[in-house]
Amino acid sequence: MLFFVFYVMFGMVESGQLISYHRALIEGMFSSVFFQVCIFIIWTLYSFKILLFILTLLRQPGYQFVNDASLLPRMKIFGLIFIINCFAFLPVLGYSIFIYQVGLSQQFYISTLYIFLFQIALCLTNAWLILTYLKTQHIFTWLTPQVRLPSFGGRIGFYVSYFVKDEKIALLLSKLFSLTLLYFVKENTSEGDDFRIMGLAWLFALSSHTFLILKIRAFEDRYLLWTKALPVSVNKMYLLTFAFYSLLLWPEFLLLTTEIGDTLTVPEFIIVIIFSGGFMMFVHAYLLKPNRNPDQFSMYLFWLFIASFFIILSKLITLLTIVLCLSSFLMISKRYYEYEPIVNE
Amino acid sequence: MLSVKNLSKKYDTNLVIQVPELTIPNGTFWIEGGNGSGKTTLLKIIAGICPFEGSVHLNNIDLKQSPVHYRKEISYAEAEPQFPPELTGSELILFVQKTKSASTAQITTLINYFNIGHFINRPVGGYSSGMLKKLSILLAFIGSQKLILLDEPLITLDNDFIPLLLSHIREKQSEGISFLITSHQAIENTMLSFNGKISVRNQLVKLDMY
Repeated sequence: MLFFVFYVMFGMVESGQLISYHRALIEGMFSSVFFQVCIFIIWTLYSFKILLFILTLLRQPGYQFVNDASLLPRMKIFGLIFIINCFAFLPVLGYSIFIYQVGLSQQFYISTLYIFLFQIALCLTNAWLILTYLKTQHIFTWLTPQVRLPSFGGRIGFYVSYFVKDEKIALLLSKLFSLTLLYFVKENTSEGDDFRIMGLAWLFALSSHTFLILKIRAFEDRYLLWTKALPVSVNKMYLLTFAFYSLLLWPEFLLLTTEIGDTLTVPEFIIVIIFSGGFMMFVHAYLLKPNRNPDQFSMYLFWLFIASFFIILSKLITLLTIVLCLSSFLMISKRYYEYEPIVNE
Repeated sequence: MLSVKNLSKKYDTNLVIQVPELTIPNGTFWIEGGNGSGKTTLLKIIAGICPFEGSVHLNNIDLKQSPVHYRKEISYAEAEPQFPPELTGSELILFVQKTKSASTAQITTLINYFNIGHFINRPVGGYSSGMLKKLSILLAFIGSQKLILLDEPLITLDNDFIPLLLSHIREKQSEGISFLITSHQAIENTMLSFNGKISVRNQLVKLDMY
């Protein structure tokens, strides 16, 4: 989201045209009610994000002492929270100085006043909500809507619930990158083009998901160690995890189906699915080690990518798929019960 | 019967526990020892969670050679359980039920007996430590295991739940199920019948039969 905003603000035009671009944006805000409403919505969403951030912080154990502020006089806390909120809202308030300047210079007095009052209202509303929380320790349920998918059940369900609840941003970022890349390659290839072009793009798309595997491993270490005491075979555990990673790539598979008949045949599509699962499981298997040095992991991913890159170029993707699936299975079979996470002191 | 041979466990270079040979007959045993003595490590090794050197057999089933078969015979309830916070108690119960091929009737009986039905449909992330403990203990009783490992089963539980738990343990004892129970406090006065005590001290484990 921040990247999108940054791109709109600074990436749309050349640096020499930035000032005139922003001036045009601000003037558009004053001359178009629709555009002004859009900006107000964006500011409201940002203000809401600030509110959720502060409320989340206040509920963390390390910030519990801040709740003692509720002992202060009401107006004093309100003033302090209002100032904190203004600081958090500073990017908007800072930019608004230019909005006010343009508005006043072009005699949009009423609109400038509306904008000022709207921003103050956002900060005051946030301050009031946070003050209410400090005084009552009660969060309005509409502030923290819970998205709960129907349970898939089993291990796959555990992973899905985890991503939906805790790693939405990570998931969205990897999807944004991989789907954008695949769509771009798809649009610029035509029937009869070499399958390897899409294959290499697919490799990049898979690599963008590898940091999700790190998160899965951390989740397993924290919350799923007790499942090692259950009578679940390594084979079943491997297949379930393989199925989860395949499910994770379901949007990409869906996009790829449009290529069947053009740059991709049905057998090749099936190989891509199995290759993807094997690739993810190979990285998953590597992470079944107690000392997970980030530098070593990055180097491992780099060499895995390079090796896969050249093997795909050599049109040996089927062989690569078999090697990845087989070796990941053997690694997990060997390491699963021998693995124990390091407890940080 | 549980038999342990040449068992040793190290964290880095620190030897935590060493058992040259230990045979624990069927029955109920209290595992006692000070903080950091290795009681939980021993239970986790027997449960199959913790890697180790050596061998562990339960009724001649080798933990390392027959991991699935072994784990069908055993259950473990942690001292401080941690479950995925976004899942509900019922989802976890269903998961364990499926892995242990337990009947729905058994699950219903356990939920009603332990009286936890009023909170198991809520996400585990909102549970108190006592509620987590109750859920963990219930999960350990799911299935048809021969040995149940309970790590500090009485901590964080309310006074209403403890008699229910002790009564259920006595019932399972009469069915021939064995228990290994760790506790810092003397658990011998809880009206449970113990066959012996296992002391864990200075990395060594000693069995005293009553």
